[in-house]
Formats: sequence, C-alpha cells, structure tokens
Amino acid sequence: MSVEAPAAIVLENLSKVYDLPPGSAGAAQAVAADNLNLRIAAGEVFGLVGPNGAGKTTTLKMICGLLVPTAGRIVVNGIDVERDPEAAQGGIGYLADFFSLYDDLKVWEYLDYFAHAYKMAPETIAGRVTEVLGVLGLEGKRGAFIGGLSRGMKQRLGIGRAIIHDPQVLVLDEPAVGLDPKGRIEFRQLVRELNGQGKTVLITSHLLHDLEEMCTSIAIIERGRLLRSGRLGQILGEGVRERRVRIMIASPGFALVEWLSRREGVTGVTGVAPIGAQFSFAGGEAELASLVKALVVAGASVYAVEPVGETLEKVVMGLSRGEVT
Amino acid sequence: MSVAPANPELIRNIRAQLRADRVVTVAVVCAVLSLAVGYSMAYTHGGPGRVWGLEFLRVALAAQTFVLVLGGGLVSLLAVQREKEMNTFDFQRVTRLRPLELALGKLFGAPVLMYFIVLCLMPAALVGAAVGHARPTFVVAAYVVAVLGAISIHALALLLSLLLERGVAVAGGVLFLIVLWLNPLVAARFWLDLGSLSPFYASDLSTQMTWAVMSRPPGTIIYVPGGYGMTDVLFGWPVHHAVVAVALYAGFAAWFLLAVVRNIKRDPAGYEIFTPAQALGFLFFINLIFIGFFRWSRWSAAEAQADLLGLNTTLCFVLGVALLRTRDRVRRLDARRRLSSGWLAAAWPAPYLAAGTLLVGLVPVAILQVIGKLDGEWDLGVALFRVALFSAWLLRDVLYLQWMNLRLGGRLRLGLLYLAVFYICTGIVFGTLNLFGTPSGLAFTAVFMPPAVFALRLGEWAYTWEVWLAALGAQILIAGLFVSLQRRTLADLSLPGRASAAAAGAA
Repeated sequence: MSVEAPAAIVLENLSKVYDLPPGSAGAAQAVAADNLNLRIAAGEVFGLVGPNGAGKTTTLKMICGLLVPTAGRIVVNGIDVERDPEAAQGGIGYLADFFSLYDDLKVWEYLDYFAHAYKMAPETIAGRVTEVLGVLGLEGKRGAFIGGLSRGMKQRLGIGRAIIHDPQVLVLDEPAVGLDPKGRIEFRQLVRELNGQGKTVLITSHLLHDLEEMCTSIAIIERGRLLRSGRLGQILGEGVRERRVRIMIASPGFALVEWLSRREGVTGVTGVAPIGAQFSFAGGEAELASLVKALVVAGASVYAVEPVGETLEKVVMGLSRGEVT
Repeated sequence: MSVAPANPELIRNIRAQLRADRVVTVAVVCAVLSLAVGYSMAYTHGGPGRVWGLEFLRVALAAQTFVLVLGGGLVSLLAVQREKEMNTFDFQRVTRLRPLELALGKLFGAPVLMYFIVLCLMPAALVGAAVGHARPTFVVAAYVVAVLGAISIHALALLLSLLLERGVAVAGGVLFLIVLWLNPLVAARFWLDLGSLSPFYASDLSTQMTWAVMSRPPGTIIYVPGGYGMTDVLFGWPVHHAVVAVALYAGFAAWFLLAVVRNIKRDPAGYEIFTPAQALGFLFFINLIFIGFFRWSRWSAAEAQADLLGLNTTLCFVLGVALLRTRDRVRRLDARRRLSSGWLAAAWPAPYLAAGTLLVGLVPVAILQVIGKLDGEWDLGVALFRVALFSAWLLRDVLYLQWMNLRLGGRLRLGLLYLAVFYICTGIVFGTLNLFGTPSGLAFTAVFMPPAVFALRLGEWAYTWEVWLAALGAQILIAGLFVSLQRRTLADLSLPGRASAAAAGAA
C-alpha cells in the first residue's frame, strides 16, 4: 500500500474575480482563479503553466497571502493562509516575476534585513547570511551595494531573500526571466539542490523546457481554470497512443516520405529537414526493425532512427487551444 | 515584540539613509548654516545677548520643525508608494513582520534623515536657549510639541501613502502640508477656544516664561501676543495650550497609526481605513474636541447647534465615504456568506452613518438643554428637526455614492464629481433666483440642498414647516431610492456564474 506524501499546498475551490480598469477592452471583470482545486505534495517541484493572463501570478500571490481570494481556501504547511497569514508566511519563500531590490543597501544588509523580518533567531542570522551567499555564489559581493550588481546577480540575490529563512515551500514566479543561458542552468541546479533538501517548489515559467527538466508535477491553467494536473510523465504520456518515430537519411533524391507512406502501419508522415521524416508507427520493435532494413535495402543511407516523445510545450499548446472559451 | 531599536524596517532605513559620508555631509552643512545664521543675527542685534539668544532659539526651532514636518511629511508620503512602485512592498508584506512593527518601522524610519538633521541643528538651539536664558521646561516642551506634532503628521502622510495612488497622494499631501503651514483650524478658531494645532507653534512656546493660564473674557480673540495666547478653554476651564496640543497630537497619531496598522499588510483591494465601530470612535473623538473647546458663551443656542452641525458635515461625509464597500469586498462577503441579506445589505452604510450623525447632532442639543443657555430663538422641536434633516441629507448622499461605488467599474470618483457639480449648479441657480433670501424659498431649497437647514430660524419655522417636512421626506425618499438601486446591484453581483460569463474574453 502506497502512503501519500503530506500536502505542502492545498487549494480548495479557490476563486478570484476582479474588476478590470475602466476602458479595458472586452469584459469589465476578469476571473483569475475559477474554482481551482489543487494538492501539491511535500517535496515536489511543481510547475504552474499557462499563457499570459491565465491567473498564475494571482494564484501564487493568493498562496503567499498577498491577495485575498474571492472564495475558497488555501492551506500551506497545514496553516490556513487567510486565518493566520503571518504563521503561513513564515514557511513560504516568495520571488515575484518583476521586482526590485534596495539598491542603497549592501548585499549582506539585504539578507540580514529579511532574516530579521522573518524572525530568525538573531544568533543564527550571521551564519545563515554567509551560508546563503555561498549557495548563491555571491560571497565576493558581500559588501557591495546592490545597485552595482548585474541583472543575474540581483536575480540570485532575490532567490537568496526567498530562501534566507529556510522555508519549506518556495513560490517562484518566473524566476528565470532575464537570466542568460549559464544563469538558467545554474538556477535549475539550485532548484534541484533546494528540492534535494526537502523543500517544495512551486514555480511558474514560460520557459517550458526548463520546467520539463526541473518539475516532478505540473498543472496547466487557462483563464483561471485548471485544465490538467498530475505527474509530469503522466501528463506527457496522455494522448500518446502510437509510437512516433523519426528517421534521417543521407541520400539526396530518395523519396522518403512517399516510400514510408506506402508501408503498412505507417501514418501521419511529415518531412523533416534536411532529409528525413517523422511518422506514427503501429507496430512493435521487431516490425520497426524490419521497416528500417527494408529502407536500407531500398537504397537509403540511414544514419538515425529515434523515438519522438511529447514535449511539455506541445502538450500545453494542445490543451490550451480552444479548450476554454 | 521588536518595535523600537531592533525593528528591522527601522534598521534598514537607518542603514540606507545614514551612511557615514552622508552623515558627515549633513553635519557639516548644518554646522555651517548654524554659524552663518547665528553670526548674522548677532551682527543685527549688536552682539550675542538675551534677545539674540531667544531669537536664535526661535529660528533654530522653526528650522527644525520645518525639516521634521515638511521634509518628514513628504518622505512619509512616498514611503509606501515608492515600495509599491518598485515591487518591494509585497516582499515586506510576505515576511513575518507584524503590522505594528512594519508601521512603526516606516513611521520612524522613512524620516530618519530628517530626525538626524534636527539633531544636527540642536546645538544651535541649545546655544540660543543658554544665551537667551530660556526656561528649560519650555524648551523641552517645545521639542515635545514639535516632535509629537510631526509624528502625527507623518502618521497621516503614511496613511495617505498607503491608501492613495501616487499622484493623488502627493498632490493631496502637499496641499495638506501647505494648509498646515498656514495654520489649520483657522476657521474653527472662530468657534473653538483652541489655539493653533500647527507644530510650528513650538518655536513660540520655547521662549515662554510662565506656565500660568489666564481666564479669558468672553469674545477674546485667540493668540493676542503677550495676552492669552497659550490658554485654551476646555469645558469652561482654562488649560495651557501646550498640554492640549500634546494630548491632541498623541490622540491623532494614535488614530492614524491604527488605520495604518489595520491596512499595511492587507490586500490593497481589501483596504478599509477603520472598522465601522472605530470610525464612530474617531467621529466621537473629534466631536469631543468640538464640544470641549466650543465657545458656548459666544453664540446663541440655535447658532451653536447650527455651527456644530456645520463643523460635523465634512467629517461625517468623509467617514461615510470611508465606510463604503467596494465590489471586491462585497464579492468576498457574499462568497463567505457574511453579507447581510436583503435590504439590510442594500442600506450599507446607513445604520452606522445614521448612528454617528444622530449622536453628533443630539449631544449638543442635550448639552444646550442641560446648560440652559436658551433664548427666544431656541425650540427643542426645531433643534431635533435640524438633526433629522442633517442626518437624512448625509444618508442620501452617502447611499448614492455607495451605489455608484458598487456599479461596474466602481464609479466613486464619478459619483463625487456629479455630486460636486450638482451642488455648485443648484447653488448658482437658487442664488440667482434669490431663494436663499426668503424663508419659503430657503425651505424649498432644502429639498435639494439640505444645508439650508443650518440657516433655519424659529420665526420662519412657524409658517414654512410643511415645506421643511417635505424636504425631510424628500431626503428619505431619495435615500430609499438609492437603497433600492444598491439592492439591484448587489443582486447582480451575487448571481452565480455571472462573473465567469462577464470575464469571458477578458483574462
């Protein structure tokens, strides 16, 4: 019998309706959360995915107690956020999508301020600040003014603020925005490390490839509605009923698409540049091996045969197109 | 709880604003300015002496008060606004800082540089006090008045910074500080035996020599230099103005701070300056000042009642507006089934406003009856009618604004604009027709402009009472109309699925 992991975040019938500013195009109200129900188990890296305006940021802010839901209930680490926001906030580290830091403070002063604001034991603060600076790779900037840091360093410092009090839940809203490729790789590594320490991470991002690499579970929302949620593998596997295969050849002039289209069990053939094709194949491994052998016999120089999996991007695009009207 | 030196928000401000280089620069500038002004004044007075000393003390204290009140007021006005713009405010709200800690950290932290400048100018003031042989108790009292007065203004500025949009807050705040500079309650001083509530009064206080208070003959104008300038009259008893100022500053600072603490960590969509009970408490606090310092002996009973109602008009209106519910709040109350049902919900905030207006109207009537200073113009029935019309009038206007605020898009500003245009245009037309100049015309105008009731006299009541009663009935009918409209709006807001349908295509 499997034991379900305790919930770090629970959303129960969560709704948020707000008025749009006068003069806004379309309707006068927006629904940022529409009866959302979600359970995020402790220790997960949970991705919240959806297009702009889907309600991701509003949902995250409600979880942090920054916005009050129109209806519904949020429980973080077993604490009702609306009833006891300060207690709940003690266990949450939050990073907003667009933010500034206090440019007139030094790096260590910034972390020291938030450590005190989160009511850490005073005797532990100096050590914790040093530890976090080490995790972020900012030891050399300890005494520097924040105003002089690069964008990436500021982003890291923002993450440092979110983890300074060692929260059990991290809520990160578009944390990779503005990071260069190296910074994104380091950030993914940092999230894995934090998750390895037992922290639950709730993260939103438009960089779906990053999420695919980091997340254990995801939820897809659009216009405040939950379209899908579950383990990443389960979501990616949904709807995959046939094996998709890509074959690449080095034989200019060979009519690969036409050749494949005539074979039994092959459907949905599309060309792939420079010379190749992608198709659905109904048979098993042995039938696929026979197909490749026949292709070689037919005169094609095959240099690659690979299975094609679903990507998060495709799943999201497939789900969000017209599902909510 | 860490609210004082260990307050993280205060420490953050001290670290950011009082860097060593800045501290040295400020100290040097203050020292040079003090020396230059001191030398200039000594030259004018023919050398340092008692007169020079007292004058130097006054100037130094005025400069300190200026820095603290105006400089501190402006930075407090921007304290929360700037954080909201930088998207740093949410990070403070999400910490475990308690609302009181955060509020106190900003109250004393935002103007911390101003406090430091005051400290740097202190030697100049002390030199002036020593040379001028100023009484130490008055110098200390002057600083208490200046600092407490500044704190109350900073608390108000912080509240404005929290509640208003940047442009509105800054414009309103600057206007407020200009009015403060020009001595607030200047109009009220016609009715109240109460001296200036401007903290700039501290420099006058610093050079006083006696704490003695003097009984004042009726009709004396306040603040005759060397006369009764430092004496207020509270419930008929002479009281030194410094004591009154300190008590009132502390009272106002507490009320403003309460409002800041109530809201500083809230979702901005759920801001509510006071609870209804607190709003009533604030109304009574102000009325205690009105009634306690009112110059009962100067006016006839009817005039006294009309004047006190007039003083309460703006106050009750502002508190009525502060109690208005937003669409967001109504939605949340409805979703949690905390919205009173039917007509009671539609009459919001009438019960609290009625309680407030009736009480502030009836207490003076009771006082006038008890003290018995009545004359031929006084009639209890007419006095009660005045209170009733005053109350109905404010209910009418506030219920109209509540309905506007619940309409799609929240049209409070538009409602206020319409109301202002209505009063201005009606006043122009009625004035042109000379309706305010005749008893029957005055009674007629009350149907549209109930403030006419302040001018109602007993002699006129005898033959125009039917029109006055019709005016009262009209207010009640119009108020009922807005209750009915609000009920429909509430029903629309509560319809299940309406929000989703309305939002389709918006998100």
